[in-house]
Amino acid sequence: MDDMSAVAACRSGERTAFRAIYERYVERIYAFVYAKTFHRETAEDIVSETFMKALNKIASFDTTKGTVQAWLYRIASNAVIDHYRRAKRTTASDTIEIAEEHDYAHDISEREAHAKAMKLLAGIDPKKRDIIVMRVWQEMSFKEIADVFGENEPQVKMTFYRAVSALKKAMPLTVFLLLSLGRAL
Amino acid sequence: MKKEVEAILAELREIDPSFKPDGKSRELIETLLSAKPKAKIDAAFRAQLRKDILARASRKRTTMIDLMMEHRRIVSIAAILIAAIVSAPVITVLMRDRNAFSRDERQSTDDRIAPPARPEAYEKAKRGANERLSSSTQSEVSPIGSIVKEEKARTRAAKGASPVPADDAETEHDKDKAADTALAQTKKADMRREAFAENADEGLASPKAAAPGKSAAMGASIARAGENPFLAREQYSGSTFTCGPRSAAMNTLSQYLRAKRMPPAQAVTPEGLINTAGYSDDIPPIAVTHTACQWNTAHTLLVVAIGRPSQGEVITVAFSEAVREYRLIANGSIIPSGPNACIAVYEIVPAGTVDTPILARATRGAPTRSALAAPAITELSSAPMHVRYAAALAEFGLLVSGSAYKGTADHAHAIALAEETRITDSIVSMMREMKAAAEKR
Repeated sequence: MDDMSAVAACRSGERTAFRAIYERYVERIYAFVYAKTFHRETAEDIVSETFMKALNKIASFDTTKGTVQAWLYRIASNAVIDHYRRAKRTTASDTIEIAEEHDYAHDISEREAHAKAMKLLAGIDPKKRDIIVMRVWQEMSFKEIADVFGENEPQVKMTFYRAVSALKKAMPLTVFLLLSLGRAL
Repeated sequence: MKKEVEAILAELREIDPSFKPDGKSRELIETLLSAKPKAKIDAAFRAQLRKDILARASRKRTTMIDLMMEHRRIVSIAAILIAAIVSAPVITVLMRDRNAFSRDERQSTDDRIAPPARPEAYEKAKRGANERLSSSTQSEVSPIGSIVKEEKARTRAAKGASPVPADDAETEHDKDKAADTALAQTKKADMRREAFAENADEGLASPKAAAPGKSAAMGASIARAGENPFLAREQYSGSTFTCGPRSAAMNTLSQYLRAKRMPPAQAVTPEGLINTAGYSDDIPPIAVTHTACQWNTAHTLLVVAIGRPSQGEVITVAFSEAVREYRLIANGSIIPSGPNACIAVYEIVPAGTVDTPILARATRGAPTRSALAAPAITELSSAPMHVRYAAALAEFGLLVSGSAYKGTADHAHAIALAEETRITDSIVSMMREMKAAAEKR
């Protein structure tokens, strides 16, 4: 069952058709949320919230205004923002933060790569970071990314180009030299 | 990876033909690609979420609340319109009456026409109040009142009028006003007497309820002030509680029962009861259970249990949007028997119906350990023993403390639930004594 048929079925009362949407996108949404939180339990909570919200709102989803995938990414992205707002508020009032630790991979080289990439990505604005994550890590096409942000393809391409240029500028010379050296060895 | 790097570089060149794929660009793309997270979704989580989604999806959305929740905006606008339509004629009628009353009043004052006839009962009460007023002694007049009277008399004398105003000089309006004030004072005094009579009890008088001025209503408001209120999840999405010893309540309760006196509202709270009751079963490091609320069928309970907590350990509970409001009824450490444990009981107002699965995650210290509430609501009869134990004492605590949130809480029910668990016999017998005292009252 394709997305549009599933949405139509849900609208006509067959809400179990949502299963097709869930099965198709759950891994992608999880990978996206995990890439933004780096915490398994937090990612699971946000993914649950995303799909529950999508199920509740499926009847009001307008198929002429975008794809189901783009819609789910927007819900997930907002859920991540909400999560950090909540965590910030809880910290302010109750001196404890929810899910602050990161589940870094056990492999040392992988951990180092994560740390370097995260340091670089932290220096650019959230939208550019999301576009890098979607294009490089999630291998989404520029068209798909454009749908998520409600923009046209050339706009997203230009943002991607600017994001890469910004990262390149921010990349310290030492990192570059070390990487080059490691590669040569 | 080299292929992927070259593909991305080609894309960048396509976007900007002047782009030169130098060594630094290549290394940057390689760094990003090698940092790609390899986390896979947990199969058990995926299966559980699928089950939850299908359970929710198969639930028929035909209830009025569901439909209203789905079309919140339309419902809000419709409600405002209905309110406006309904209130417009009411306001018009009220305004007309007010204008008519003002007209009547003006006419009555100007033409010295007697006010319209009032019911016989009112006139009788007024006469009584007037008699009481005229027979009141000098000691009932406040010193400030005397000073004001003297000042008025001096002013009158200065103007050449009689220093003491004659009774017939007073207007009908002044008399009415004085009579009404006296009636209100009499009513207040009667209410105070009734409240005091309610508080006073043969053998079980509350030790602090002796002053006649302290009404039952005031006692209730004190009890409410000591309780946690319901919090909206939209505003407070997370809650925290600390594991550590609290004030004991069972000993206090036992002392009052021995003295055949009812404990004051704030002396025995659900928190104190949960804190001191002995419970011997081992409690897991962290467990969250979502179950039925026995004193309010529209609400549910969330019980968070922490096994072997460290002193002052802070536990965080995060709620999903399926929770509309929540209230921390009690939390405390179970100390006397069995391993040390900490239990918190939340009363939940679900956003949907009571059978809506809710998501609540409790998290404790470093290293982080957390537990997610089973989405399906657990029947209280099949809930773990510690959950039934906490629910029984929470219900009993609401009753003893005269909680504003006690709903349909019932001693017999709390006792039956307590008997199912492994609460020590002395606590159950104390609950029975309290039930008997409450019935006698």
